[in-house]
Amino acid sequence: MMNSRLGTTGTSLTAVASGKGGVGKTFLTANLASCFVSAGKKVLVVDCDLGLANMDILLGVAPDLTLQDVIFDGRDIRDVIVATGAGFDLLPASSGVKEMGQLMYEKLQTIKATLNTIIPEYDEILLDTGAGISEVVLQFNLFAPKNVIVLNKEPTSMTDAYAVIKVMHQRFQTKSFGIVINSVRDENEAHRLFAHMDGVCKNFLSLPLHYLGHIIRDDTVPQSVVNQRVLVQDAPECPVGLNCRSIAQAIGDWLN
Amino acid sequence: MPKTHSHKAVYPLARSNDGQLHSDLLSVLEKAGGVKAWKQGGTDPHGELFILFADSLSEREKAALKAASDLVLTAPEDLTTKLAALEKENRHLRSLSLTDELTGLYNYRFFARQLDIEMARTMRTGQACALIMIDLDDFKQINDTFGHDRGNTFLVQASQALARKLRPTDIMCRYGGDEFAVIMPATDLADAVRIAERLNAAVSILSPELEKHFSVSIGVAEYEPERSGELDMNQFIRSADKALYRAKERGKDGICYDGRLPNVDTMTSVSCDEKTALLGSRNDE
Repeated sequence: MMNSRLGTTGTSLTAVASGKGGVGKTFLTANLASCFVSAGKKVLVVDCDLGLANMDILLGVAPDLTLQDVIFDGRDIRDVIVATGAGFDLLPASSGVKEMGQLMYEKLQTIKATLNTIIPEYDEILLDTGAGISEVVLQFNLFAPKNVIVLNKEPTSMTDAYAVIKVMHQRFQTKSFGIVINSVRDENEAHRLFAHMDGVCKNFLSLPLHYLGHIIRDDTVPQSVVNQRVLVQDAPECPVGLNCRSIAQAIGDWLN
Repeated sequence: MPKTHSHKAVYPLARSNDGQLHSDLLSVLEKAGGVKAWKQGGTDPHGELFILFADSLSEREKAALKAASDLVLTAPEDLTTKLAALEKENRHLRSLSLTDELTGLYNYRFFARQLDIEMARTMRTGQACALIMIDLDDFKQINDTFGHDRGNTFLVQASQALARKLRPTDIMCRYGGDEFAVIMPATDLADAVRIAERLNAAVSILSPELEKHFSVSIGVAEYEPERSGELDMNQFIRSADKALYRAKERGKDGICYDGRLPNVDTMTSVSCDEKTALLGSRNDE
């Protein structure tokens, strides 16, 4: 069993998953990273969506090397990590390489071993995992002690998020999931959705969830994505920015 | 080609590629009247080998035989020397063999080689593999009651009954004596136990006129990259063997396994009930 060596380093390692794609996982990861940077932390974001990587697009960076070069060509992981304009480091992945979506188990172990070598150099590491519940997604979630699940009120988002929680809980006995509710009208709606999800998990899995926060629906969010900007960096005091900061705070307090 | 003589030929093999007797040879033997000299002839069931003994052969016949065959013995001493050489070669070949003579299953040598490969494959792909050890219950009693020949026949029958219940990718081996091992690539513990139950049921219909119905004891172990990645091959075999031993201790005719079975009922994806609960009244707007 190879998991992160956190006990000795004090680094906080968080995986962000959603089950369904398009619910704001990458947006949340980038903006949380930016919040941690503002709090004076050294932050690394790892794009773990090895099939359809897009963190680099969101951040408007065009990396020469990617995680795939580390795995297949033995490049040093330090050569691949790039600094982004948002103040955190990014370990990018490349998109559309067919074989990457279903990585061999031993390659996953290689990635984990390589990540372990750089963990001590950061205060916060965020893993942006892919959509779905493939083995790659599960393994990255297993690697990180903090598992954040993003969901919105769409029925498919609810069921897919639940599927991730259920599989992680039953296969790996993961006991703590932090929930972020995205695209809500207000805090009340977020609390209602969380209570609903929490109730289903308690009922069927005997597993209470941990509420981390919500992000309200706001037109500035899709606009920031189109502009390839990190919203909280440009407008830290806007409502979404405050939401992200509150979630970052909750992640920092969680499991500590 | 005179078909009347086609069942008589030379030693050891005088066939051309199309399966016909060597026509040149046959014509020589016929002309010399050699066919009459055949004292005894034989052929193996697969028709690959013709054996023939002759009292006397003319020089011309000998020359023709030598041209057609790489093995013509003319003196009794030759025969003894050749027999000794053949037996020696036979033993050597047997030592290289990968199958068990009695049952036709893979032998221990193949088993060890294949298990090593499957364990490496598991570490590469992350997919668990499983190992099943099967021991025939009270086989000694069968041997003692009916003799070793009947015992052997029964061993073969039992192995065939078991093998019929396996999947094409499972690899069944005779582990030794009345013990069998099945390597199951890309199979987790739950699936292996399910198949072990099938095997256990398959032999109960075999009845070698025993007082009680015939049965097997089965031990199952799983090699799983996250938990058993540190095990070497002998430890993996031992874990299945220990499970088999427990099955014997618990009164035979049963299955024991090493490890924890996942809750099969809940391993499936999101159930209808869960979906209904997730989607019901989530928007109290």
